[in-house]
Formats: sequence, C-alpha cells, structure tokens
Amino acid sequence: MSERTVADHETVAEVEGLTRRFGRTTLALDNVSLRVPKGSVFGLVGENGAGKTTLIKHLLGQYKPQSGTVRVFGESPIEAPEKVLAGIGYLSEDHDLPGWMRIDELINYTQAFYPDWDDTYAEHLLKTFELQPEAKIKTLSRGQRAQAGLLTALAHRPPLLLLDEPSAGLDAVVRRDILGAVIRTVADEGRTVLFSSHLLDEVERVADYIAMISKGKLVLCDSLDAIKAKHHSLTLHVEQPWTKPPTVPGALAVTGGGRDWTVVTDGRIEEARTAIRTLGATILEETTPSLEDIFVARSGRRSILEEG
Amino acid sequence: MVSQAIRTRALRSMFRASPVFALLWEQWRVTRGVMLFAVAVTLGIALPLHFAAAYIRSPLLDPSFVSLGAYFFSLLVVAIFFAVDYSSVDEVRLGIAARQQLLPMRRAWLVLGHFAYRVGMMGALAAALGLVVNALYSREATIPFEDGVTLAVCIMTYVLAISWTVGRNGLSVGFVTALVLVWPMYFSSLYVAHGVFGQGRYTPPLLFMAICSVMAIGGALQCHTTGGRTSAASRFVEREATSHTSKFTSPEQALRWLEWRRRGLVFPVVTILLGASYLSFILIVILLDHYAGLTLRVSLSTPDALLGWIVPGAAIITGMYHLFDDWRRSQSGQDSLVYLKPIPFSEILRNRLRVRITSVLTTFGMLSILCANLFLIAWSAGIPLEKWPIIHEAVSSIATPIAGIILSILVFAGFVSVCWALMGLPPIVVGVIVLWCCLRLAGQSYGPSMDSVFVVYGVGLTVVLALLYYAVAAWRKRTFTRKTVLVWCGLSVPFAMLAVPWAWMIRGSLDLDDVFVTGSALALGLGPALAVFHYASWVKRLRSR
Repeated sequence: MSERTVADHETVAEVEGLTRRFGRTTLALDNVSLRVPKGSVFGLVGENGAGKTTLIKHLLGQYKPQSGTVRVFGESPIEAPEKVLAGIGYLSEDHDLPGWMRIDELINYTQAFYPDWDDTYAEHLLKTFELQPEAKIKTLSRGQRAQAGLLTALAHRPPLLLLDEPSAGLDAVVRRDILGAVIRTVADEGRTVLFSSHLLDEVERVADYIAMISKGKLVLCDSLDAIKAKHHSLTLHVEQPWTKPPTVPGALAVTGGGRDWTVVTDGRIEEARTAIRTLGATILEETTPSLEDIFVARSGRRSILEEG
Repeated sequence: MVSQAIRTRALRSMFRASPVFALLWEQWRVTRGVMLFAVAVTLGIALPLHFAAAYIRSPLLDPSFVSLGAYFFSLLVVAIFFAVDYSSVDEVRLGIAARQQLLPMRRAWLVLGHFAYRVGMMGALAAALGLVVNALYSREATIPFEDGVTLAVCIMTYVLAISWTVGRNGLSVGFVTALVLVWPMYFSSLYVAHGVFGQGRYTPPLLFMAICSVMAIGGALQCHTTGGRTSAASRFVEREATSHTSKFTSPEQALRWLEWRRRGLVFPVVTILLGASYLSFILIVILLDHYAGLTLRVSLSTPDALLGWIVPGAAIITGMYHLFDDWRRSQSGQDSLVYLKPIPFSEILRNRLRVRITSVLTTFGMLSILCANLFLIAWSAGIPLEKWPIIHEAVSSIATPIAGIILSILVFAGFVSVCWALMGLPPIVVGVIVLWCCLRLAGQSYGPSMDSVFVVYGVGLTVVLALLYYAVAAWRKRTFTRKTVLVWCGLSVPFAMLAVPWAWMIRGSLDLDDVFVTGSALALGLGPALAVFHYASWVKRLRSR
C-alpha cells in the first residue's frame, strides 16, 4: 500500500488558513488549509452544511477570503479570475442552468469562452448522454440537467474539474455516467478533479485523496490509501457486559453495548490493542473501516438509533 | 361547536351539489385579502391625503385627484392580483391553479367560473368603493358611480385578456399579441362612436369589454386544452426571435446575446405593453369624454394630465424593472453563466451596459411610435387637440419627433441611473417617489406652494434616512469600509447641492422654481456619474462576494 502524501505532489489548488463567516454566528470555514495534487481525484466529504460548497466557491473566486489565502494554478481567483476560470470546469450543486436556453444554445454560448473547446468531444458527450440539442433546459429532468451541465464543464478539457455534489438526487444510471466522465477526465494526462459528495461509497470508489470537513473544520486530509492505513476497526468481546463504552487510546468512536463493542481507532493501533487486552476484552476481528465508518467516527456524531 | 359542524356539513353538501360554487368559494378565500387591501388603501390613504390636500390647497395636489388616484390604484392592484393570484410560476403561466385543472369539471365551466368571479368581484368592488367615496367626498370630487364600475370592468377584462392570451408560456409573445389586437378595438370603438352601430352611451366600453372577454376566455380555454403549452404560432415567433444556433465568434458576442436574450427582450416588451395599456386608457377616456359625454368630472378626465405622465411613467416602469431584475439576480447569488466565465470584469459591465442602452433606445423608439399612433387616431377621429393645452404645447414645443425621443431617453437615463446609484438603500422607494415628483414638477410652472416644501423635505428625508442606515450598519458591523465612505460621499454631495440652493432660497435670493430645476438638473447630472461608480462596484461584487 503506497502512502503518498499531498505535500509530495505538484498542486493545482492551495488553501491556507481560510476562514469564512456568514453573519455573526455562522462559521462556515474555520482555518482550513489543504492542497489539491495535480492529476488526482480529490474528494471533499462532509455532512450537509459542513462548508464544502463554501470552499469550492472560494476556489472559483466567488467568495473573497475573509482571512487566509486561496490559490488556483498559482493565482488568486479574486485577483486573476480570467486566468483561473479559464482552466476550470464547474458543475454546481443545483445545476443552475437557464431554463429558457436550448442545449445547442448552451453549448454555443459556452464554447465562445474557451479557446480549447473540443467540438468532437462535446458531440460525443451529447450522444453518450442522449441529449437532444434542440431541447429546452426547462424540459429536462434533473439527471439530464446534470448531464448538460457536465457536458459544458468537460468539453473544453479543463485542467481542473470542480464538481459540487454532482450526483445528489440522481439515479444510478446518471451517477454512473458522471463517475465515468470523471474517470475519463483524470485519464487525460495531468487533469485534476475535485468533487464534493456525501455519498461516501462513491467517493471511496473514485477518489485518490480525501478531505473531510466537519462544521467548517478540516478534520482529515490525505490520500485514501493513507487514510485507510491509519484507521482500524476492532470488534471486541467481553465476558462481563460493560455498562459504558471503554476508554481506548486513539479511539475515535466506540459503538455497541453489553458484551460486543466496536472501536474505530485513528492509527495508534498498538496502544489500542494493549489497552483492550488490559481491560480484559478479546479482539474478535481487526479490519480496515470503510470511509463511511471513518467519517461517522471523525464527525463525532451518533445516529438516532444508537442514541435511542 | 355543533353549529360549526352543521355549517361545515352544509358547505360540504353545497360543494357536492355545485363544483362551480366550490370554485367560487375558493376564489373568495384566496382573494379576500387583496379586496380588503383595496378598501384599506382607498380609505386609509385617500382620506388623510384628501384632507391634507384640501388643507394645503395646492393645484398639484387636487383633492379629487388624490381620491381618484387611490381609487384607481386600488382597483389596479386588485386587477393585477386577480391576473396572477397564484404563487407558483407555472400556475401563473397557466392562469388557473394546477390543482383546479385536475378537478372533474368541464373546462368551459372552470374558465367561466374564474372569469365571472374576477370580473364580477372587480365590478362589485368598484361599486362599493365608489359608494364610499361618493358618500365621503363632495359631489365635484367624485366619480360617477356607474362610470367607475364600467372602467373597473374594462380594466379587469383587459388585464385578463393580456394574462390569459395565447402565448402564456412565451409571455412576451402574449403581450405583443394583446398589443396588436388592442388597436383594432379602438378603431371599432370609433366606428361605434360615430354611430355606425348606434350611439349608445356605453357602447364603446361594452364593445371593448366584449372583445377583451373573448380574448381572455379563448386564451384560457386554449391554454387549458393544451396543458399550458405555447401555441404553434407563439413557439414559432419565440424560436425565430430568440434562438441562436450558429457559433459565436467571441466571448463578447456570446455575452451580448445572453444579456439581450435574458433582459433586453423582456424589457422593451413589458415597457411597451404597460405604456400601451396606459395610452389605451387615455384613449378610452378621450373617447368617453368626446363621444359618449361620459365625463369623469375630475382632473383624470382631461387627457393632458394623463399624457403628461407618459415619460416619467415609462421611466418609472423601466427603472423599476431594472431594479427588480438586479435585485433578483443579487438575491439568487452567483450567475455561473456570466461570472464564472474566463472574461475580465470590465467586459461583463461593458456588454451589460451596451445591451441596456440598446434596449432603452428600442423601448423609447417604440413608445414614440405608440404616442404618434395615439395622436393620429385622435386627429383622424376629429378630436380637437387644442382642447387639451398640454398636448398641443407638447406637440408644438418639440420641433421634431427625434427631439422628443432624445428627451425621453435623457429623462429615463437620469432616472434609472439615480436608481442604480441609490440601489440597495432601504428608503429607496421613498427616493424613487420623490425623484418622480421632482421630474414631474421640474417641467411645470407653478407658484410657491407647500408642494415644493413637500418635495424638498422628501428628498432631504430620504438622504438623511439613507445616511443614518449606513451609519448604523457600519457601526454595528464595526466596518467603515471604502464602500461605506463612497456611499456617504455619493449621497452627501447631491444632498449638499440640493441643500445649498434651498438655503439660498430661504434667504430670498432664489425662488422655488429654480430650486426644483436646479435639483432635478443636479439629480440628472450626478445620477449617471454616481451610477457608473456605484453600479460598477456592485456588479463586481457579484463576482466575488
């Protein structure tokens, strides 16, 4: 298992100490720092309202950093928006395309801004997505809108593709199309994809690097391999039932009850093992947790069922 | 509790017996609020203003004008509400709520029920308000009861004819259709008035109502039949007028197309429609006055008073459109089609302004054509224009139609730019009204009166409120940003420039007329400068918030 770190790679986007407040009470981003390596698929995960979209909007130059810096392709998106935006393909969360436009008009309009627009590729995507050029956007389904948006984001072959919750609310077929397009984009040499999602199995399937945001704070940012290598899930069994969760060094989350417990640890596996044995418990199974388990453990939230 | 249950049962049985009754009951539940609003406006605003105007005794704040203004304003609000009384855009497009279209009843009954309710209630409201106004005011200041009802029903049928016509999905096409159809109505009215069909007192308005009703009901039926789809003709016109399938050669060209398609087309069409509606009613008043002897006996009955409002009226409509459009876009956040494209900010601004100027030129050009049509119709009908001095003076004072158009554009540019400059301020509505008064008053001669004080204090109050708002906001946020300072300076300069001649006037060195002329000239002169500065920064802010 190779453990690449973000710092080892050339970056296309770099965020340092970014903080953003909305009003007095809402802290959307709290001192976030991350780097997006060139040629990677970078997954941004977090619960609803965690700050993913806010971060993406900073990368696009739509929000001015209140403190900290944002650089994309080595430039500030605020100071040099033309340079930055020329290299970005963007698909917004709500696929905000104008309903009155036809698809061919949308394509014609968008291609005017990008000298590298690839007509053949656009045509290919149009056929792949089975979109009718003369169809008005307001007559399209949500999935078709997403596909139309993706087409305009991809057809100029941008060095950086930003997808904000690209598959939210879409069916499995459209999700597969989008993921396929993402993978093809990465297959083009040197291209980078940053996408946010709360579908963690999807992120796990395609992402090389993952940044996890919770309540505006960056709780984790590393390659998927490194993240998985760092976390362990231990299934415990005790003879005498425990009435409360045990204290285990490095434990991010302890779930279960009675004689059977599960502990997710952050990498200090030896310390955890020792502590568990000291407590008189038996480790039945030691596995690599899924990204979803890690996310739930890191976010520090329990489900209603568990609380109940 | 029991009686409530009985009532409910009784209502249910009535609904079962008559779906139309159920429909009318629902209409009443939906619209009763706005009916109360109309009564409140007429009584709550008109009465105090009426007495204030009577106290001031100003020729410009004629008590009869105030009361009738409130009367017609209330009716117009109700009419517009009736035309678009559903919250969802799709429902507004369909004209009838989607859930009602699913009711198991005949389409004709559905449409007729809606039509009858709206027209009937409008007439009833006009009658009720007319009774109240007649009871409260002196006879000279009131509108004849039956004429008020006639006019109200004319307004309602006309509004419905527009909102229910064929091109509902392409509203602009519907507007144009309504616009094209309205002129033959006038010519028909003229023929009727000349006695071809007999010279009944109410024949022209009844004919007008009949044509509008047929248009409205036909439009709604067709819309319902086709499930709200656009007619083939509308689709054709819309597609031909707006589609762009050839490639754009530059980003600027693409951006201009987008701006024009998104704002430019709607803007002139809406303005012209409203302008045409306005002119239409002037013409109705002329016809009623000239042929049917149906005089309103107040300032509204003289078309000179109405015609004098065309330019400021059009400027207000267009200005409001711009404000609303800009505000809506600022609320909706970023516009990825524009702000996320790799083009310099200056290009965005340049193209946007260029499109707006083009659409303004088109608007005023077409409005001028409509005005010319009005004169032509009046002239061909043998109406002596000399009867209304302002029309006569306006025609003779403007050397060429082009001069009139240029004048209109200048007034518009001043108005809209001042609105832009002041955009975002809480007392903007007050400011607009006050500016409107300034523009209206600037072109007229009058003696010193309380009106002048009212306007000057209005401007002053607006500016003071705006400054106060910004001061408090800046203090609360603890940010005295560049923008704050800019706005303060931007508002203080014209305010000071208004205040100086005002102070001078108090000393007796300048009379009131000069204050208004100076104030208006300053507003028109400073407005564009402020607008360029403020609007540019505002658009830029949309890109990076």
